[in-house]
Amino acid sequence: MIKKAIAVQSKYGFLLSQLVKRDFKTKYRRSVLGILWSLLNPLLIMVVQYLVFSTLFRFDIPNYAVYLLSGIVMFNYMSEATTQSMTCIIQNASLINKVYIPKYIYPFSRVLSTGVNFLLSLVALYVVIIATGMDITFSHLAILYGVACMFVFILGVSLFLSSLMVFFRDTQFLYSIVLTIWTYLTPIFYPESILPAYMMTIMKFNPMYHFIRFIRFIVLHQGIPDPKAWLFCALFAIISLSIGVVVFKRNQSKFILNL
Amino acid sequence: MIELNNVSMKFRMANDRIMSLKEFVVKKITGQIVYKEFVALNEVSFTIQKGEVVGIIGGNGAGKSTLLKIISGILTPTEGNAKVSGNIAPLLELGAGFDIDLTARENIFLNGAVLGYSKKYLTEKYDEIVDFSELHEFMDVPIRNFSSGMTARLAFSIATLVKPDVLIVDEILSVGDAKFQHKSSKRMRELINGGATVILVSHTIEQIREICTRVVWLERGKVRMIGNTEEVINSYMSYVNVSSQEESNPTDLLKYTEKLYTPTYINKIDNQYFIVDCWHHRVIYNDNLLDPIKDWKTMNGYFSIPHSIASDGQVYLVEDTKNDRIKVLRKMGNAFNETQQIGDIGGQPNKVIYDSVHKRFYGISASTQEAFVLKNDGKDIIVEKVVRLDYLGTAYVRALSLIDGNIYFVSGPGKITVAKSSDLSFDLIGEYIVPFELQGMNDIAKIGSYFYLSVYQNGNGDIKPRLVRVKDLNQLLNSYEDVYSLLELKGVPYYFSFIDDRVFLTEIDTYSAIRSFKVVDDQIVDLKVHYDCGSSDEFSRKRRKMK
Repeated sequence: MIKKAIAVQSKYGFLLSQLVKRDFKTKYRRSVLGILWSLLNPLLIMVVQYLVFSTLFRFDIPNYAVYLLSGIVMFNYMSEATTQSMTCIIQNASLINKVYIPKYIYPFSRVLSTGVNFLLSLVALYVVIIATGMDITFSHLAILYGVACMFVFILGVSLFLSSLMVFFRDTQFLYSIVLTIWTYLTPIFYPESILPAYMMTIMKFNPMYHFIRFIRFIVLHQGIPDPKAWLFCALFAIISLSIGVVVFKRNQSKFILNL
Repeated sequence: MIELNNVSMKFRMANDRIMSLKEFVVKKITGQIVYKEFVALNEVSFTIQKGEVVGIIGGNGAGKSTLLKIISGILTPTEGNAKVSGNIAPLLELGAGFDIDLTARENIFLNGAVLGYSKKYLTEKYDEIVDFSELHEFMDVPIRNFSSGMTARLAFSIATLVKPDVLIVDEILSVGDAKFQHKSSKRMRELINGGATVILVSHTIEQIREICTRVVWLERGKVRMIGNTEEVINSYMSYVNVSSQEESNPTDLLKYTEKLYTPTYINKIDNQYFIVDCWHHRVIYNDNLLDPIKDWKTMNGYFSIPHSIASDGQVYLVEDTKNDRIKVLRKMGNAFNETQQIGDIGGQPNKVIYDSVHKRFYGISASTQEAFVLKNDGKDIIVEKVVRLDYLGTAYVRALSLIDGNIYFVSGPGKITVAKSSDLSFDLIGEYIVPFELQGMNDIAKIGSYFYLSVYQNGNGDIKPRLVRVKDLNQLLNSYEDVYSLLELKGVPYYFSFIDDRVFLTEIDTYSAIRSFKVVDDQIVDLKVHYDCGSSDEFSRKRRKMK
């Protein structure tokens, strides 16, 4: 198993790195600011939402900028990665038709390349954390765990969506609606305290809620999240990946017939 | 090695491809989904050994591309299995994975990765790729600014970098401008002859003929015929040509292979006999003269009206007369495969001979009166000289012969011309006037103390076959000896050849035969008929017309 994984890594690792590089390079090609947008984009969204929500709705959240930005950065990664991955199989139809490459490489590379983007926006987050004078402690290392779980979760969703998309092209339109609903169902810009009790029950089933909560707890309270939070993160990651892998594996040989 | 076991590929095609969830649900519920099964491949089985060059032919929709995709692992067969050992390089389409927004340099690495090369390998070969594509100054330009020719050149240079075990080629043999096309087709040949197992799909039958050792003919997903290149292609071509009118039996169309039709030349090279079967457009070979013609093997490649074959023991040169070129073949395993083509040597090269003293080939192009000299530089055959011989006038020159160190040309304009060959000057040394009835000569040979002349036509071009001999060519106008009936000839005597201690003479046109005799003290003795095929039948005539 491990031997096989290493063999695959050595064989397709280079391809993967090339595909990630390609995605990343072409994303900002021909734009003046280029890679800076990865930093600027979440910051600007944050500024807008900060102005809107701190003046209009006046949520009573301490360190609202960090609260808001951490949510935006995490959720954006999820939505960007899954949306990009969803279409990757059909977009690479010509390649799939011509060269044999394990098909999971395509969604995987998209999740990785948007991941690079995400890492840059994490830098933006830290800029804000430092700017607002908050402490950075060793507990921040736990963020890695949260990010890793979220990565696995996103990979699972991406595998699932990309295979679904091959068979039903409506998926992309449906999913954009799902994403909108999801945004509002996740406490990104509002505090979870404003939610009624039944909504909190629903919230327990929202994976993004757990990932964001996990990380917010670290950056806002400089503490280590409780074991239950760790467990939930892992659980959602594993469930999502399992579903994604099973669906993808079962259908990948049929992709080419539907492209 | 590639092994296909009962490979079937079925596509389930819904009447209308369902692309939306709503449509699917609605139709599923109302039972409107009607699947139609389309069988792209039906129980295809065959094995390709290591190092074989196999062509796949068949009409559109025969399943060729599907088969290639299954072999290269892109498609999984519905039934059966395909076993392939070794790394595969599919040259299915150039530039797969190119990103137009990336620079040429970046695309080399991206496309290389897609094709499965390692980073180390690509870094090593980077310069080679750039050199081959000749795009040095454009390496940092995004390929969106490239012309399609430049993109193709880059793609070709990357794709053909490989040293694969299995090479899969779908219709790409040359790209770019004329110069690059030449270069790329040479590269393709090198790849194909590089020892890899090659599978080639092409609609250009000519290419298949030149390159492949074996051919698979697919028809509506089934293997219709598999075997020797010439046989399969000939049946395929006849099928294509006649299938609109009549359903013909492939074996019927191969009947011509049992006979000779205008065999122009016979030769023995390295214990192997070669017969140039001119109007059947082929060269056949065998290790003895006793086997019937149908048991002889065919050299790979299509020769349009070939006339002779010459060899230095390494390479074999055969004219592709109608196409104005010489084909160079080499022995590979048990087969003879084409490795080179030589053009620009005049119109209708009609005869090539080998000069073992100077280690070079001489040839004559019949309709443009150009003599050419070819040399084997150990790797390729190179053209050393092509010269138009004005003293040959406008005569149709069928042969040149090396006699006592000089070259004799026949037919000249009513004469036999002798030229100096040792210094390649082709300077005129002598001329002999030929009487009217002998002016359309085929060949000249010196046997014993006599010059022998085989004749096709008289000075008016009427077919009047003759075989005469004379001791002194200056005496030709006064007297000569007619030995046509002595040799019991029935058709047109053509080229002489000397095999072991016998003189061989081919007989063509109205009557196809190969005879031999001995000359002892200028006496013609011990006549033998090796092959007597008589006049042509319908199969032979059909084959002659086929291109």
